[in-house]
Amino acid sequence: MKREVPIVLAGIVGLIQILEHFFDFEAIAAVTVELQNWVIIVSAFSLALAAINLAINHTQKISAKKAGAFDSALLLITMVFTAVAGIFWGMESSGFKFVFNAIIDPAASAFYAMAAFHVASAAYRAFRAHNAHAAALLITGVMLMIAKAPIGEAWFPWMPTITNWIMSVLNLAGVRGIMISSAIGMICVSARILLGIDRSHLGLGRD
Amino acid sequence: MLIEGRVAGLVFTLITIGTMLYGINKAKSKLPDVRRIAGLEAIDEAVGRATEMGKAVFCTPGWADITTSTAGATFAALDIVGHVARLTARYDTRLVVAVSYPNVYPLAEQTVQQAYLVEGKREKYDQDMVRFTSSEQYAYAAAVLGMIQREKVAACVFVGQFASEAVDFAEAAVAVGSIAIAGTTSTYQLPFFAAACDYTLIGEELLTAGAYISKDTARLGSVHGQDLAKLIAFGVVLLGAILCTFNINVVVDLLSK
Repeated sequence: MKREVPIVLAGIVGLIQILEHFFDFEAIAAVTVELQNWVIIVSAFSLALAAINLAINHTQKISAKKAGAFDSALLLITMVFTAVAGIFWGMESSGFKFVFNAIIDPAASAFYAMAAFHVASAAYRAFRAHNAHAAALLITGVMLMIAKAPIGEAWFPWMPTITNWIMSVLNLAGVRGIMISSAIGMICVSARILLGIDRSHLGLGRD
Repeated sequence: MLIEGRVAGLVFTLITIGTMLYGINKAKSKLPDVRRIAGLEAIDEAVGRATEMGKAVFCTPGWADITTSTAGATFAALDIVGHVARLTARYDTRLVVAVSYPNVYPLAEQTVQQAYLVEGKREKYDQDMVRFTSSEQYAYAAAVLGMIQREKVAACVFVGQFASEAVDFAEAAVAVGSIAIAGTTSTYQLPFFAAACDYTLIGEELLTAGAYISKDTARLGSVHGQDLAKLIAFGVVLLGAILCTFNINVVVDLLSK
């Protein structure tokens, strides 16, 4: 029973979702809306489980006075504050908005900006022409950078034509190849799970 | 009533499932050959290196939920997390798994716990191994970067769906001198992983990982079926391209139905 019930449930629910995507039946649409509401409820339980894990891990760090205990305390305080502000004062309250406007948004912007430096250092390592493939990457990369820079077109007026061709023919062909094969792979992975062929995510073997 | 514009999608989905079932059936009599995937082979090497150095292995199944269209990538990533956990259990190496979405957390926990159980190391499983971070993109990213830096891990495995944090993860791994193995189906993030990581699983390589690792007959058979579906798709694309060149749009019209 421990093996069969989750597989049968996943199969039925998955089939309903697939039917709703392809067919226009009112009854199926109504069931799908109901199931999607269930997802929100199940997700709320998962969130509680995850929050408990987070609280346990960081409480243990604080009580063991491990390195980073201060950060853990800060995390727990902000977590409790955000939850209390959202539940008791409401999501439109100044306290709840403060968490997003003054802490999360600026921190996220700063983090996003860091990506520029990481891209530069990754490009520096990748753009070393140590073999034919890396040399091709280096040449096309440099050409694209020149073409995209405002001064590039002024210096080499013919460059955008070549780089546009690289992007819209060579690059797009490669991307579409990856996308089509990934989509087929996704269908197979999903079908394996819904048909109960693949049970590894349930912590069960095939037998 | 079939929804207009989705008929071709339904037909191709059914064809793919059909080829997959054919592949599974065929595998019962003859196991298909699967080409070597360097990125998956490298996981054993990376865990071995971490064991020798006495350092931890870091793993994350990406920044995606199991309730969206990217669920397949997350499930495939969990397969790899399970494989890494089995290796760390076998070699008594410390493992850190960072999870972003609450719905993925119980699955990741179950997967790692099961891996330690299978390896007969149940007592070595620690609740601190699988850590929930946040479904907020940059909170998750900051947590992952912090874990990599603090633990000074010797091997990093980033698999699943990622967004702009991908390049930050790869660079953080390089900064601590770790082997970085990545895999994603996101075509936007693949170039960053390919440029910055030691090994990259490209698109469907990630999705076939579970079959490749487990060597399970049915799952390997489904990979064979997957290849047949790809051949059909390739044939349709080629035929469509040739016909379009001569201004005949039969294939395009059929696919838009």
